[in-house]
Amino acid sequence: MTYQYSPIKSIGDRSYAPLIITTGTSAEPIAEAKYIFLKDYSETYAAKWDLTRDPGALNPNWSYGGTERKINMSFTLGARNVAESKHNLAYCAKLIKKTYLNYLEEGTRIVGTGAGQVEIPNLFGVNPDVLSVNFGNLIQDTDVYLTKFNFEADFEAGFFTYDNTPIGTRGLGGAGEIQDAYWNMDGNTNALISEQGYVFHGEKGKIYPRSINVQIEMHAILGSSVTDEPASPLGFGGKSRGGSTVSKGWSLNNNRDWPHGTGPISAAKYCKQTSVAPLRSEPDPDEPDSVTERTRSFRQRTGR
Amino acid sequence: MADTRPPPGGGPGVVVYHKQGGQDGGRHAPPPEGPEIREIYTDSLNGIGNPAMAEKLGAILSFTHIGTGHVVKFPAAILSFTDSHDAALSKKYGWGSAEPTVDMTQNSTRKISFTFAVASASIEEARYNAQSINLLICMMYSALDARNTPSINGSRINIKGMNFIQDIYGEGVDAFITTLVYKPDLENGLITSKRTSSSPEMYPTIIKFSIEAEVLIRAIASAAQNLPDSYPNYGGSGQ
Repeated sequence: MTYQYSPIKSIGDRSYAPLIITTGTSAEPIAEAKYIFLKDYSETYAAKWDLTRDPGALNPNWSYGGTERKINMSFTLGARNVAESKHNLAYCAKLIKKTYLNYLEEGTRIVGTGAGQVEIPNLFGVNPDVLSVNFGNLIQDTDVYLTKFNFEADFEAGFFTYDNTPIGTRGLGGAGEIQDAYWNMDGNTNALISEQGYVFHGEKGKIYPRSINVQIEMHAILGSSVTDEPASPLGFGGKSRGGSTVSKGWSLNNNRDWPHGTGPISAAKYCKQTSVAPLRSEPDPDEPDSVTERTRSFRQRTGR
Repeated sequence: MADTRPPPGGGPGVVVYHKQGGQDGGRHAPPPEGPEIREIYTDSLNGIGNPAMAEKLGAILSFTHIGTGHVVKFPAAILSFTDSHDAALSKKYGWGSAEPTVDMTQNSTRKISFTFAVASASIEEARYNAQSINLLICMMYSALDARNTPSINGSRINIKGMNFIQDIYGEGVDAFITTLVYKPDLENGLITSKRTSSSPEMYPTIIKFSIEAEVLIRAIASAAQNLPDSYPNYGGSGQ
């Protein structure tokens, strides 16, 4: 877990859920966990209906094209000292990168027109990282693409600033420099400098915000970045419920309420797990016949 | 008088219900039980509280998933309601005419949008409500067949909410909910449990839902009359 002011952390540890965002990639196996000051939260479920009407018809003809799930959150990252502010900035920077593609290929692009055309280097990306998000019982092991990240420094809250006021007469350096040094030597023991005492820094030209307002939008997707197993589509019944067309059970069939956790009470009836015997019928010619093959096919389809 | 009601889940064309018994010759484990019927929270029905008042007044908002028959009910703490009836016209504009010529009324659509709140006064009520809310959210998805293909009914939901959200027979309206927004009212705080696991419980005290839906109109035309006098049925009388 990233550094956080200890009173906030201890309150959080007792009764609040951290926001945990994991990239799940081996190249960057970060797991950011942070107690946030939640300001706004919403989930939007948008069913894609194609409703067309014949001229004069009372009711439409319909077709259903799936349901999208988006999660929006606004929260504040407060900082009680320079170190926490720096951690907050690094946290934001790390997440902001996840709104971009992974630019792994080099190419060129042409700018200008006519005789003035020139070819300059360019980067080309593939899919952005899938993030796995947990936030208490509100967001449980949900794979998402981060589609929006708004970063806003709260100017009214102020900044931690540079200070080179000399301390003492022995030429030890400015107040900021000394606080930096004490903090780095201290290792969170509060022996040299308290958490509340680290309020200046020695990096000329830099300011660190005391408060950052963040707004993120996430687009939930199916599947698991952990197992790479092809996902069961969300719905009632389906293959994971034994393929019986009269099943009314939730397709995840994992004995967990979805989408929000409900603590110690048992899962709702339609979420309770049912054991499913293996299908012994003729294999579906369109269906890959092994987990490896299904995973490969899933990755090809989704580019993950 | 003969009952002229169209079949439940009416609308255009044929509503296809899945065959009973599955397609696998019964080789799989028995399917889960019948549909889930979630009533409003009852432990506080001692004359006080939101659910008790709703029960007393009959102010219940119910949602039925057409594809499975699952039902979930909430106290009808409706915060806003809009019922919009729009006629689409086919218009022609010509030189020298002051107004467009209306060639034909293409068709009319009925869209409802409303917001309602679900409040919890204890962690037990919050957990119960969370399960009810989960079911409502799950209803935004379809029933799936053996190949995980969505049913023709998709996430079609029958909604009944007192005398504003009902059809001419006093029953619920079949709706294509296009958007359902789950939005906790954070100013009213969260109910939390003592943290005993890595996934602590946080339940918003009040959760607001916004729903936008296009509504199927359940009516049978007759020679004498198009839509019945009772459409739309808000329960009014005396005009």
